[in-house]
Parts: sequence; C-alpha cells; structure tokens
Amino acid sequence: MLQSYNPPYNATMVEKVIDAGGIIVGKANMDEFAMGSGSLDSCHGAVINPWNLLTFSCNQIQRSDWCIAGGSSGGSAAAVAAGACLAAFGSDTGGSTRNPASYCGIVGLKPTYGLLSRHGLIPLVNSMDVPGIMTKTIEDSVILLNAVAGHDIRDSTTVQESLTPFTLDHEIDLSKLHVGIPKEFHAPGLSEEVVEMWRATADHLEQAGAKVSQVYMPHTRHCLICYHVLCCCEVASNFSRYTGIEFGLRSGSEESTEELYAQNRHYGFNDVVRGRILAGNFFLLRKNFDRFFLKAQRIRRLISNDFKAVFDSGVHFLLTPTTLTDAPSFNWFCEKDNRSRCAEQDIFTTPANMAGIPAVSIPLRISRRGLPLSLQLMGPHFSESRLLSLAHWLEQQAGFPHLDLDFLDKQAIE
Amino acid sequence: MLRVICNRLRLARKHSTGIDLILKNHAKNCRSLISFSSKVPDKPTWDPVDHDKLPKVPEIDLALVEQLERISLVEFNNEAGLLRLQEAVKLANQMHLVDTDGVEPLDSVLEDRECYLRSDDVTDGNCVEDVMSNASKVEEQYFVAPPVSMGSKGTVLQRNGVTESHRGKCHSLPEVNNTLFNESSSADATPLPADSSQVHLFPSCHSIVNVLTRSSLRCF
Repeated sequence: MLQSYNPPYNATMVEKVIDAGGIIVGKANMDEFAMGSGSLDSCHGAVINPWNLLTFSCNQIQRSDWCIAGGSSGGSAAAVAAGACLAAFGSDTGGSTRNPASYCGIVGLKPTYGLLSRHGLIPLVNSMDVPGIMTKTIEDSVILLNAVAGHDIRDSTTVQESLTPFTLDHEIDLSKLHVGIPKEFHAPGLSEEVVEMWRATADHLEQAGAKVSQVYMPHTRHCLICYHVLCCCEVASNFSRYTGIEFGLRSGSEESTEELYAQNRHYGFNDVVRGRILAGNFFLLRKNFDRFFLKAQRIRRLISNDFKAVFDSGVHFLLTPTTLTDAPSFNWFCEKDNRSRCAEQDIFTTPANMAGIPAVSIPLRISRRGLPLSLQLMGPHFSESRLLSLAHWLEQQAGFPHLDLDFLDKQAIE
Repeated sequence: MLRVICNRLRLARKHSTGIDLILKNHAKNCRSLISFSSKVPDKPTWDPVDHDKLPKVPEIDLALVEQLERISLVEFNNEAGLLRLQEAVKLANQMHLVDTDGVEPLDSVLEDRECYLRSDDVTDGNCVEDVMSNASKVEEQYFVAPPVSMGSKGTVLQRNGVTESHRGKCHSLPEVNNTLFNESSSADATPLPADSSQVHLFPSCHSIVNVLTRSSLRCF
C-alpha cells in the first residue's frame, strides 16, 4: 500500500535524533504494517536473523533451516545485532520491539505509553502503540531515550511533565529492591532453557540482596485474546484511511469509489492485514460490540488492575521471560499462520502494552542451539530510570557475548 | 560474606560465559550460606483453554460476509479468508470465560490524566505541494476520485444511522468524468460549490469510510 509513499515530514522521534546529532542511516524491513511476530510477512521478503551467519554462509542460509529474527520490527533488531547501526527504532504494540530484540540478542525497550511521541508513527492500535528503542547495551538505550523522550504538541497523548534526562545508577542497592515473579508467566510451551535462565536470574538477584517473591496476576493469561480483539478493532478503524486517493497504492477500477477503494485495498494489503480489518469490523458490529469489543476493554482493565495491585503491594519490578524459546526456525514457524504464531509469541510481551507500563528485554545467555536467550523486566509507569538501572546491573552480571561478525570481513579479504 | 562474594562476582565477569558460569563457579558457596527456594514456578501454572467448553462460534453466512466486505472495503478473497475470520472469532470467544461483571471498559491508560489540547491557532500550513505529493491522480489542487457507485456495492450508504440515498444526485461532468473535491492549503477539505455541472458527494474520503466502520473509538 505504501510502497511508493514518500513521507513529506519526519516523525518527531526522528527529528529529535537528528537535532541531537544522530545520523539516520536507513530504514529497515518489517512485517507489513507491524502485523506479525516473525518479520516474514513483508512485500520485501523475510528478515533473516544475523546469528544464522555463525552457522551458515550467506550462500547457504536460504537453503537451510534458518532462524527467524522475530517481529514485527525484525529488520531493526537484525541491523543492530549485526552491527550495521548503533541503534534503531521499532514500534511496540504487543511486543514488536522486545520479541525481535530477544531473538537477535540485543536490548529492546518499550517505554511508558505517553513518554515518546507517536507523531509520524503509522498507527496500528492507538491506545497501545509505543515507539520502541533497540540498542546493543542498556547505556545506549538510555542515551537515545534521553534524546527523544518528552512532550510533543503534535501528539496529545504525550505527557506534559518535563522530562529530566537521567543517568544509570551504577551503584544500585539491591537490598532496597523488591522483584516480583508473576507465576502466570510460566505458561504452556515455555522452554526448559528459558525456565532455567529465569530461575537462575531470580535466584542470583536474591543472593545479591534483593527481595524476590512470587506474585499473582490472574488475568495476564487472558492478555493475548484481549489484545487480539482490541488490535483488530482499532486496525479496522485506523486502516480506513488507506483508500489510494490522497496517498497509497492506486491500481483499481476508476468506475466508482467503492470499486477503486476495494481493489486498492485488495492489492495494497496482504492477507494478514485484510484478515484483521475484517475481524475488527465483525467485532464492532452492533450485535457484537458489547460481547467482544467492550468485553475486551473490561478484561484490559482487569489486567491493568493486576499490575497496579502488584506495584501497590510494594513490588518494584517484575522479572519474566520475553519469549517462549530462543529464535525458532523458519520452517517450524511457517507450519502455522501469522495469527496463530502471534498468539503464541506475544504471550509475555502484550501485558505491558495493555497496562501501558515500561518493559525492557535484556539478552543474558546463549542457548544450546547457540542463539540468544533474554529476560524481560517491567516496572510501574515512568519508572524508566530505576528499571534501566536494574537492567544494567543484570547486563553487567551476565556479560552476554554480543554477535561479532568481524570474521566476515576477514573472510572477504582472504 | 555473601556480599563480598557477590562483589567478587561482579568484578570477575567474563564476556564469554554469562550468568551460567558465574553461578556454576560460586553456587556451591552461596547455597551453603543461605538456603532458599526459587520463586520461579517449576511447571506451567495454567493449561490452554479447552475450546469445547466455549460458546459456539457465531455462524458466518453470506449476508454477513457481504456486510463485512461492504463495511471494510476489503474482500475475503477466498475460503482461506473466511476460515481466518472463523479462527479469529474462535480465539476471541475465550474471553467469555472471564468474569467481567461490574468492570468498566478501559479506553486509555491515560484516563487519569488530562491530555494536552493545543489552542485553536493556525501554526502550520502553506504546504499544498507536500500534501499532494503522494497522490497518484491530481488535477490542479484537487484530489481526483471516481463517483460513488449506484450498483450493488454502493447503492445505499449509512451515515450515523441515517440512510441516505444518492440516487439522482450523482451525475458526471460532460468533460471530466470524475468527482472533484478541493484540498485547500490549510489541509481542511472543503466541498465545491454545488452547481449544475459539478457534483461532489463528500469532502473527504476519510469521513465516509470512517463512519462506515461504526467505530466508537476515541481518536488520539
């Protein structure tokens, strides 16, 4: 739909990076309209996880059972992991920044809803969309966050309080921290390796002096279905702007507006996008509005209340897995359709979007398959400075071996 | 002593090992000092939903398919599209297992805050070329769109519950067969004056399609 679209303005986040002296080196591939968790549904082709290059040569990859980069912001994650850039933006509506960050072994930060401007971010779900930040290290994410956060008059959902740039607390006192382990996040399908890493990290925090306790968040297990309904409904509304008249693909019959719109939208959207629009309009029909849309909004409040109750009880942060496993293989991922995979892959990331709280994925370990494994930290609204300080501590403890592709240069020279 | 060990752990980190080796090297010492049980559950704490216990998925008949296609202005395309909708509804059905009696819907996580509203001052504009730059068909400073169909797909339009029939109101120009509407430099679309030679049906494509989706969502 937007293949020939040339934006006549910069998004606020991009403008702020440029004003701060950053250099925009390019745009990355992703799932079409941010709908997906594999970065395989793009008209430009799939994103391949750069960690594959440790096992396969460039010529061998596409004939092999290569691993996906995750999605929907897989291109951004792959670029940072491969060292093509120092940082990248993504979007995070249900985990689209944290999921590929986990699979590609980098830091993926979803700040609090309202901290970063969405002006210039193509809307998917207005009430959940947040621009995401991807970097190799927590320190880099703090540099970028300080440069781009803050009120924007062009986005009325940005908070009006002035944001003071912060620095990481390198001497964090763990004895003053209470970390919660939500038991519902041990979900069906969670791999043994991720459980072991989760356990080891929680235990390590406790050994280092933090208070660690199990917490109860009973409605978070329903997050995915709630997200699925709300996403489809807001998509059905947001995507009505794509008609091909003022911008976008125009390739249909000029006999009538309806025929033109229908054909533009047929050729301009893939099956996934069309499917969500149709499902969203089904849920929004008068006879279904209360049973589906309002029901989902009520469940959303229950999920948000679960987080409020936990943080009000004295828990400072929550430690959970980011994804069920390390990066899945392409062949395995394609056995099911996009919607089914999103319903599996986004299970741990959607709760933070429901409640609007900040969440960060940090790579900590290498799996038996030689791929990154990550955990997620979540905190109350606008707790980024303390959240990232704890994330930094974990990052320092783990000493995760980032992907090093310098050997490719040496091979090329030889 | 535990703190001393932990401080040494922090200083002794090696890039190639990760948290696994740190614990492997010192776990024995730490565990001998303090015994605790891990707070991470050993097993999954819930089971996937049994779909047999859910309400039946509402039937999706031809009338519903046509209605959804008309509202969405996208087509199901094939059986796979219909199956996709059925699966989406089946997944959504799981919500009915959750008790939400007495719970208010949550529109926005910013509901406790006052969102910024700027004053109604002109602060932008004079950017006609930018606004028009991505349109495939333009005529002077007009976006060009075909007329609304009188055929089966577009005979009657529902606008906010009031049925409007455009029969008899839609006719083409003798020399230009398209409906034109004006995009002014202030980016507010205004309708052309209604005279006998030109007809427009709506100031902006957005408004027609938006009301057709019947969304009550707040637009941020």
